[in-house]
Amino acid sequence: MKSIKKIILTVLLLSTVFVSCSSDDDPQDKKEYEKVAYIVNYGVYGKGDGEISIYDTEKETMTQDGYKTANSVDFSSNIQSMSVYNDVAYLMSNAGDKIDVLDAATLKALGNPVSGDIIKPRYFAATGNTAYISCWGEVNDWSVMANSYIATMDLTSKIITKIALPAGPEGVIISNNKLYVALSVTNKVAVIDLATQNISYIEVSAVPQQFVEDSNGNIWVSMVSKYSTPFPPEKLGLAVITPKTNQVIDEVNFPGMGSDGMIAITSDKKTIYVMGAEAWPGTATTIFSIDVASRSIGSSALITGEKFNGLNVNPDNNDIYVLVSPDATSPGKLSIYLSNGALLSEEVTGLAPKHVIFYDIEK
Amino acid sequence: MSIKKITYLGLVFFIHFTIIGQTIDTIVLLDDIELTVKKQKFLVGSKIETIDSVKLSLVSSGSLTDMINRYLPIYVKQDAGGLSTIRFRGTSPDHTAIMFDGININSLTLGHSNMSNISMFLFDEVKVQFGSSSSLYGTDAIGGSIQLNNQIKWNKGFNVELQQDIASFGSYFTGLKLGYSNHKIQYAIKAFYKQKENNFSFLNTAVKDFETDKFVDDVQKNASIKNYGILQEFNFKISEKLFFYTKQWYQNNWYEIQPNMSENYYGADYKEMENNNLRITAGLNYNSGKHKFTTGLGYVYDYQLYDNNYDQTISTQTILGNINYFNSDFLYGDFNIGMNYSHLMSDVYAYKEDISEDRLDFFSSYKVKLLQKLTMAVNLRESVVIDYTNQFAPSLGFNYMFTETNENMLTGSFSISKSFKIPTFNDRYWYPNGNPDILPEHGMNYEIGSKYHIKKDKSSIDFSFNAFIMNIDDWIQWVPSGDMWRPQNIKKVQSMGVELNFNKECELGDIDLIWGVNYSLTDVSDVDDFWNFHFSNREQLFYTPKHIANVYTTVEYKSWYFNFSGSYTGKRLTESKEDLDGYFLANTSIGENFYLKENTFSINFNINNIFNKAYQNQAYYAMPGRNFSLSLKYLYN
Repeated sequence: MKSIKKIILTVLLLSTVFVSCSSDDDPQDKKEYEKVAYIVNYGVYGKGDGEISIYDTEKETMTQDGYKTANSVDFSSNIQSMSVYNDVAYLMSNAGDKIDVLDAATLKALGNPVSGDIIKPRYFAATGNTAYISCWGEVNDWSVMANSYIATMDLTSKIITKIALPAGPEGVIISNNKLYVALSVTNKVAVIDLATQNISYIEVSAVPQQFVEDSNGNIWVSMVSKYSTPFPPEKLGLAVITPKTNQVIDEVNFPGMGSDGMIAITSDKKTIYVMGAEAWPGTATTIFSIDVASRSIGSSALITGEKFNGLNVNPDNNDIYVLVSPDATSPGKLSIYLSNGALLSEEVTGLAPKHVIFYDIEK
Repeated sequence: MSIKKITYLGLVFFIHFTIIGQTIDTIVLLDDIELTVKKQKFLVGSKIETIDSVKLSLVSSGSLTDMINRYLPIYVKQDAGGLSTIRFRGTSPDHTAIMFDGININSLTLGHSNMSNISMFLFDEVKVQFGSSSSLYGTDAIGGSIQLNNQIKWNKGFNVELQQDIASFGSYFTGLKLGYSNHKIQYAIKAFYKQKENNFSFLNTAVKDFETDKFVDDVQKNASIKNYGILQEFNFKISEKLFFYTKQWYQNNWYEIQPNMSENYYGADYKEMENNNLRITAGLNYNSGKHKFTTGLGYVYDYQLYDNNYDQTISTQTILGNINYFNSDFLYGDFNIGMNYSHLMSDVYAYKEDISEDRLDFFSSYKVKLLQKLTMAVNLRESVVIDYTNQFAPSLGFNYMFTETNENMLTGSFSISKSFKIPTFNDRYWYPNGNPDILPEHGMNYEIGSKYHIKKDKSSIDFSFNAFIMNIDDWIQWVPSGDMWRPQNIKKVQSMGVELNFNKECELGDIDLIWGVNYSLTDVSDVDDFWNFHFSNREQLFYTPKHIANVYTTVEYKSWYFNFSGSYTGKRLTESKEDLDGYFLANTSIGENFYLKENTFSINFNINNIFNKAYQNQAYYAMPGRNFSLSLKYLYN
C-alpha cells in the first residue's frame, strides 16, 4: 500500500474526507505548502460571533478572525462545522442558517452563502459533484426531531434537494457509495444508498454521533448517551461497521465517552483518539487512544484536562490538537500534545472552539 | 385554564357590584386615608425616582422599557420585538425586584420580568428605587426595585379615558379606562390591546452581498407583537376604620422571537412565545389613631407557551398571605413589623416533578429623627425558604438636612444594605441541568447621596448626586458543562458608580418650561477580592454600558405642549468581547388639549428616532429607524 505523504485535508470527526493525494515518489511534486490548522470557533449561540482562527503549524503562530480578515465583514452566524472538499471550504452555519462557500486557501467567500432549504445544518460529506449535509430542520420536540433531513447540494449549481430523515442526523461519512448518518435521538445509523436513495438502518448500542474510516475500510462510529436518549456506561464507546454487509462487527466499550462523541483518526488510520467527559458534577475531560488493529482502548487516559471541546490529529506528525472551551463567553485554547501525551504548546483561540481542520495552502 | 380565568374574572366583577349594591345606601363619609403602608418611607438614604402620571401619559401605549428608555439612566437590553430585560446598576435582570401591590412579580422560573410585557397604560405611577432593598422587598432587590402603583382617588364621580394610537410598522394601540369613586368606594378598570407588525426596513450590516460588495437592504421578519391586558381595582371603606381593597391584573403577551440580522436574511427556525399572567391581591386595613393593621392575600399565576408546543409548557402559581402592623408614634418614630407567607408551586415540563415550596419572611422597620436634622431608619428581614435557605437582610440609612428654608433645601444621606437573590426554580430544578445545591446570591450596597433644591419665584431647580459601591457574591451564571449548560455560583462582581440628576422648572410668561438631564456612570466587573481595587484588571461585564444619559424638555404654551427627549447609551461589550457602538436617540412629540366642560380631547404626534439613527442595542439585532405615531385621547371626569 502506498504511503500517503500529504493529506491535503482532514475533515474532522467526521465527515468524509475526500482528498487529493500525491505520492511520495512523484518527482513532479515540487510544490511548497503553508500548513495551517483552521480552528472553528462556534461562538455563542444566536450571537453571530462564530469565527475561524488560523494556526500555522510550522511557524507556530495563531491568527484570529480569519473570516473577517478575508471578507471585511463579521461572520455573524455560528459555525457548527467546517469541511474542505476540492480546495473549497464549506461552513455549516447556524443562526442564520446557511452554507458558506469559501476558498479554502484564503477563506474568501466564493459567492453568496446557500440558504434556501437549509435549516440547522450540522455536518458535511461529499462525493463527485454532490454534497450531503445533515440538517435538523425546524425543531418542535428535541426528543423526536421529526423535521430533520439530509440536504443534497449540487456543488456547481448550489441547488438543494431534501431527503427526509427524522431523528436528528449528526455525523456523516460516505463509503461504498452509501451515506452513513448518525441519528441523534435513536441508537441507529441510517444508511442511504446514494444510487437509489433507499434508506436502511443499522442498530448500534447507544446514540451514534461521529464517524471515522480505518485503514481496512471499516467505519467506526462513536456511541454516546444523551439526556433525552440515555444509555448506561457499558453501552458507550465505538462500534465498528463493515460497509460490505452494513453490520456491526465489533464494539469497543468506553464508559467515559463524552456526549458529543468526538473522535479523530491518525493519517495512517491505525489509531483513533476519543474524547471522554466525566459525568456531572465532574468536569474532567480525557483523551483515550484506540488501536485499530486490536480494537482495544488504552487502559488509562493519554491526556487529561478540563473542558475539552474538540480534537484532531495533525496528519504530518501525529500531534494531537485538543480544543479547550472554558465557558461560552471566554476565548478558548488550542493545546497541542505529542502522540505520547506530552504537552507541546498552547495558543488562544476564539469563542467555543469545536473543530480543527488541517489544510495545506499551496504557496 | 382560560375558561377558569374568565369565570373567575366574571365572579370578581359580580362580587364587586354586589358589594356596591349592598352598601351604597349606607355610605359613611370618611377622610382620605392612605390604605396601605408605603414601605419606601423606610428607605432612608436610598435614591428613588418617581415617574408620575403626567410623565407616564407620554408613554401610555408603551411598556416599562419605553418608560425607562425615555426618563431614566438605566440600561435595558432589548430587541425591537417583545423581549427586554433590565440591567440595573450593572446587575443581571434577576437582580431587580418588580413589585405590584407588595408582590414581587418576577418569574419564579426565569427569575426576572420581561419589561416589554409591563404596560404603562395600567398604572398611575412608577417608583424606581436605585440600589439594594432586600430588607424591604426580599429576594431579587439587589440592583434596584420598581414599584407599579395605582393611586386611589376618592370622591371623583365617574371618569372615562379612551386612547387610540396608530403608528409606523403596523402598530395599533387601543386603551380604555373607566372609573367611579365616591367617599366610600373607588372602582377602576383599565384595559388595552396592542399589536405591532414590526416590519421595518434596515440596512443589514451582518449580510454582505459578495456580488455587489455591499450590505443588503432588508426588512425585519418575525418580530410582531400582540398584547392585551386588564387591570381592575376596588377599594371599599367598610367603616370609618376598616377598609377592603383588591386588585386583579391579567395580561396576555404574544410575540414572535425576533431573529438576529443573519437569521433574518438567511432564515432560521423562527419561533414565537406566549405568556399569560394573572395577579390578584386583596386585603383589609384597620386604622385606629397611630395604629394600622393590614392583612392581605395574593395569588399569582404565570404561564408560558413556547412556539405553540403544548407538551412543553411552563406554569407556576404562588399563594401569598401577609400580616402587618404599623405604628406612627413608636419610640418617637415610625415602626413597622410583619410577616409574609408564600406557597409556590410549579408545573414545568422540564422538571422531574412538580415543585412545591413554602417561604416565610419576617420583617421589621424603624425610622426615627435622632436629631432635629438627622433621620435614621433601620430595616431587618429574615427570609426563610423551608428546607433550602435562610437569608438575613438588614439595612441602615441616615439622612441629614443641612439646610431647610422656603427657598433652599440641602440634604446628605448614607445607607448600607444587604441583599440577596433566591436562585430561580430553573437554577435548582431544570432537569438535568439544574443544581439543587446552588447557593443564593448575596450583595452589599454602600451608598452616599445628596439632594439640593432651590425654589425662587416661579422657578425651581433640583439637583441630586449619588455614589455607590455594590459587591455581589456567588453570582449565578449558566456555563457550558459537557454538552449542556448548568448554573453555578462562579463570580464575585463589583459594581460602582455615580448618578447625577438635574431638573429645572420655570415659567417664562405664558410658557411653562421643564428640562433636565440624568447621567449614570457604572463600572462593573468580576473581581477576586472586593476590597482590593485593581482598576487595571477590571473588565466591564457584557451589556452594561459605563455611560448612560437622558435629556428631556417639555414646553407648555396654553393648550399646546411640546416635548423633546434624548437618550445616550454608551458602548457595551458583547459576549464575544467586541465593542458595540454607543448611540444617541432623540424623540419628539407635539400635542394639544381641547377642553369642553368636563371633556378633554387631546391629540399628540410623535417622532421617534428623529435622526434615523441605525443602532444596535444588542449585537446584530436590528432596531427601527425614524418612526411616527399619532395618538388621540378622550377624557371625561
